[in-house]
Amino acid sequence: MSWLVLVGVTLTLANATLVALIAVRRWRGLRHHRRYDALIARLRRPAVELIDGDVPGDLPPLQGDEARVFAQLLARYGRQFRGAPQERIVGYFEAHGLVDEELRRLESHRAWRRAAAAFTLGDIGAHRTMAALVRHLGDRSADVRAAACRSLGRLGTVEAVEPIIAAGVHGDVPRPIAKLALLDIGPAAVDQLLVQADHEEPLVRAAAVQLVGLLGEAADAAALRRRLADPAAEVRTAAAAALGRLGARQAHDDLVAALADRVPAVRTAAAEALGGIGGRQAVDALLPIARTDEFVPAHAAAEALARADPDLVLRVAAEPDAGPHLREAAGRVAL
Amino acid sequence: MTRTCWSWSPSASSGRGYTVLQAHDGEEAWELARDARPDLAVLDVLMPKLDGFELTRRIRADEATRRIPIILLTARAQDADVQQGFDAGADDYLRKPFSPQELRARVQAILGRR
Amino acid sequence: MSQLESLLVLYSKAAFVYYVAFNAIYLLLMVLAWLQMRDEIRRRTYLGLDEAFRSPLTPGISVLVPAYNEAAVIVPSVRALLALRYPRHEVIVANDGSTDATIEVLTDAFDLVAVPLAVRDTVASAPFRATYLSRHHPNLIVLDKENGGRSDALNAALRLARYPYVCVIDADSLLEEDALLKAAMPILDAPDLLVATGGTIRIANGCRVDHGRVVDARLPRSRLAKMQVLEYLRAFLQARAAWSRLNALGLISGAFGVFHRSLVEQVGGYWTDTVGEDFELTLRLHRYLRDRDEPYRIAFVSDPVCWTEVPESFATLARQRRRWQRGAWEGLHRHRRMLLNPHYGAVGLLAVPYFLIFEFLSPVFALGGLVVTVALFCLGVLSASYFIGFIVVSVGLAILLSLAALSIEELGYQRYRRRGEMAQLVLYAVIEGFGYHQIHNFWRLMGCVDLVRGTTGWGAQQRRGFEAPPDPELAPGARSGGDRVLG
Repeated sequence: MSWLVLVGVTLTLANATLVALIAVRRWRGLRHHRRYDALIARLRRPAVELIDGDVPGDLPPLQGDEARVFAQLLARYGRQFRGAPQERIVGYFEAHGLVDEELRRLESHRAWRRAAAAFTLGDIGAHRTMAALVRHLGDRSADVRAAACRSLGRLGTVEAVEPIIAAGVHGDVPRPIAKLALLDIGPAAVDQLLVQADHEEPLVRAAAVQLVGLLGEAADAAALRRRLADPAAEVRTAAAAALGRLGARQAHDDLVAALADRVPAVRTAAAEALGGIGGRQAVDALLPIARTDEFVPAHAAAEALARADPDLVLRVAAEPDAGPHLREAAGRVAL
Repeated sequence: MTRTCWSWSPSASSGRGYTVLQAHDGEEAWELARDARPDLAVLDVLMPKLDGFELTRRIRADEATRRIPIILLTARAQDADVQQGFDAGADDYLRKPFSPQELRARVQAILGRR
Repeated sequence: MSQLESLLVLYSKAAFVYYVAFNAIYLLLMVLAWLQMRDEIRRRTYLGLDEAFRSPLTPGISVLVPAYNEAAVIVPSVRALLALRYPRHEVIVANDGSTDATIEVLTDAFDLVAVPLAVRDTVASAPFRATYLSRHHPNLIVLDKENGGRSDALNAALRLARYPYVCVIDADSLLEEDALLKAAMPILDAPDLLVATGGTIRIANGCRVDHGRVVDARLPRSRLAKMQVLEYLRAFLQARAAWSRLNALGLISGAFGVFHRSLVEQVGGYWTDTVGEDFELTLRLHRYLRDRDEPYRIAFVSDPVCWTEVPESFATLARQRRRWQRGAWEGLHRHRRMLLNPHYGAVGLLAVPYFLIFEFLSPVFALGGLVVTVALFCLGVLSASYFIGFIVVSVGLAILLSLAALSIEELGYQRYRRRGEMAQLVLYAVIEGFGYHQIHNFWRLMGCVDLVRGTTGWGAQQRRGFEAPPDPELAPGARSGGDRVLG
C-alpha cells in the first residue's frame, strides 16, 4: 500500500507544480504583455522622431524596461534604414553604451546569447563592431557564425566581403547565408566575387557568378561570358542566368550558342536570359526548343518567346506541331 | 571505366529507373555507347585501352552518339584534365574522390531530374 | 485462479506496463520538446525573417490546394493564400470533380480564363478537364479534374507546380500570414539537407476569422472542440517537436507541410489507395532517403501556424478518428519493413514502433486493459490496492502529460490570452481521462474493426477482402523504364 501512496503523492505533487507553474507564468505573462504593449505604444513616437532627426537634444534618460524596449524598437527600425537615419540610431546606441554592452554579450559563454548579440549588432549598425563580428565568423556555434555573417551583411562594409566569402567557401557558414550577406553588402562586393569566379571548386564559381548577376552591371558581363564556356554545367547555368539578369545584349550570341548545350539546365537558363534580351537570332533559335525539347527547357523557351515576341507566339501556337508549351504561352499572352 | 577507382555500386545510382551499363575499359565503353545509345555517359579519365578524352572525342565525332551528355571523372590533382575534357567535348566533370551522393546529384542534374 | 483468470490478470498487468511505458516515453519526448521550444524561442531573436522576405535567393513555393465541394470557403481561403507574405509563390487549386459550385465560385471571384497549360508527366493522376488562369492574379492556377480523391488531386496539382518547393494544405486551412515564410526558413538555411517541414496545426473553432485569416484566437465554445485543443497541443508542441529533434518525424500533417517538389515526384507522389496519405508519404520519404544513404532532415517548425476547423459533433469526430486509425494501419503496413530495422535509424527503431504500439494498438491496451482490470476488480480477482494504483497511475500520468503540454504552450507561445482560457484547459486536462480518452480509444477500436471488415475510402462501405498493397519499390504512378546510364 505504501508504494501506492508514494506514487499517488508524487504524481499529485508533480501535477500541482505544473498547474502552479502555468498559473504563475500566466499571471506574470499577461501583466508583462500589457506593460510591454503600453511601452511600445508610448515609445514608438520618440523612436521615430529620433530616427527622423526631429529631436533637438537627447531624450530624457530611460530606465530599465523602458530603455530596453526603446532599444528594441530602434533596432527593429534600424533594420530598414541606411544612411543618416541609421547613423542617428547608431549615435543613440553609442551614447548609451549599448554597443559596448552587446559587444560584451558577444563574448558570453552561452551560444544563444552570443548569437542574439551578433544579430543585434547588425541591427544597430555600428561599423566599429565589424572586427568583432568577423572574429565570430569562426565561433564554435553554428548559430553564432550565421548571425555574425548576417550582421556583417547588414553593416555593408566592403572589408567584410573577403571574410564572408572565405566562411562560405569553407562551409563555416551555410552558403545561402553567406550569399545573402554579400547581397546585402551590394555592388561593392562584385570585384571580390569576380575573383572567386575563377575558384577551383565549381560550386564556388557558380555562387560567385550568380551573385555578380544580381549585383553587377553590364560592364561585368565580359567575365560572365567567359564562364559560359566553363567545364562545369552548374557554372554555365549560373552564367547564363546572370547574363540574363544583367540584360547583357553583348552576350546575345554566346547565349544563343548555349541553347545548344547538351545539359538541359543550361539550355533553360540560356532561354530565360534570351527572353529578356531578345533579338531575331534568339527568337529563331528558341522556336525549335519550345516545340520539341524536354519539358523544362521547352517551357522556358516558350516563356522567353512570349516576352521577346508575343505576336509570333500567338501565330505559331495555332500550328499543329506547336506543342503544349507554345500553346500555354499563347494562352498567357492572350490573357 | 576502371573497376578499382571507387566503391560505388550500381544500385546506389540505379534508384528511380536508372539502368546502369558498365564497361571495363575504353573500347568496351565505346561499343556500348554505339550500340546501346545511353542517355548519359560517366567516363573515367584513366581507362585501359582508350582513355576518357579520346573516347569523348570519338563519341562527339560520331553522328549517332554525339548528343550523349558526358560526365568526366578526373583526378583531383590535375587541373589541366578538366579543361582538356571540356575541349574534347565533355559536359560536366567530377573530381575524385567523390561520394555516391555527389555522383547521383550530378547525374540527376544533367538528366534534368532534380 | 482459473487459467482464464490468470490470463486476464496478465493482460491487466500488461496494460499497466503499457500505461507506464507510454507515459514514460511521452515524458521523455516532452523533455526533448522542451529543449526544442527553448531553442526555437531563442532563435526567434535572430531568425532573419525580413531578410528572407527581401532576398532574391529565397526559392519559390507552389501552394497546392485540393478542393472537393468547398464552394463555401474556397474564395476567402484562396484570397488569403494569395496574400501570404512570401516573395515568390503561386496557388494551385485542384478541383477534384466537385459536385457543388466550387468551380463556378472561383471563376466568378477571380475572373478565370481557360488556358491550356503544359503538364509534367511525372506522376499519374485522373484526367484533367480544364486548366484556368486568372486575369487579375498571375499567381493563381485552377485545375478542374475528374474526381479521384485527395491524393490524386494533390498529384495532379504537383504536375502543374513550377517552383522547386510545394506547400500542401487543406482547402479550409487558414494559414497565418507569415506561416509560409517561417515554414521555409529551415529550408533556406540548409537547402541541400532539408527536404520537408511541417508546421503547427491549431484549432480554428471559436476564433474570429476575417477574410481567410484568424484575427482573434479564442478557445472554442464546444466542449468536444476544447478537448481537441488539448489533444492538438500535446500532439504538436510535444510529440512532433520531440520527434523532429531526433530526425524521426513520422508525420507531416497534410493540412500544412512544405516539401521538395521533385523529391515527392521521384518517390511517386501521393498514394491514392489510402486515407492516411500524409502519414504514408512521410514514411516513404524517410525510407527512400535512408535506402540511398542520403543525408537529409525532415523537420517540424512550431512557429508557423495553420488554423483548421475540427469536428464538433460526436458522429463526425468518430468518423474522423476511425479514418485516422485506418490510415495509420495502411501506412504502417506498407512500410512494415522499417519496423525495428536499424537500417532506418531512429525512424525504424523509434518512430515506427511508437506509432504501432502507442498509437495504433492503443485501444488494445488502454481500453481493453482498463475494461479487463475493472472487471477483474469487480470479480474480486485483483486487490483494491492494485486497482487503485492502476487508476491513479494511468490517470495521473495522463494529466501530467497534458499539463506539461499546456506549460509548453504557456511558456513559449501564449496564444490563448483571455482570462480563464488556460484554467479551462487545465480543467479539461484533468477530466479528459474520465471519459473522453476512453471514448477516443473506442473509436480507434472501431477503426480497427473497419479495417477487418474492409471499409475503404472516406466513409463508404465496400467489400474488398484482403489484398496485398502494391509494392512500394514500384511507386504508384511512376513511369516505368527510366534513363540508361553508361558507366
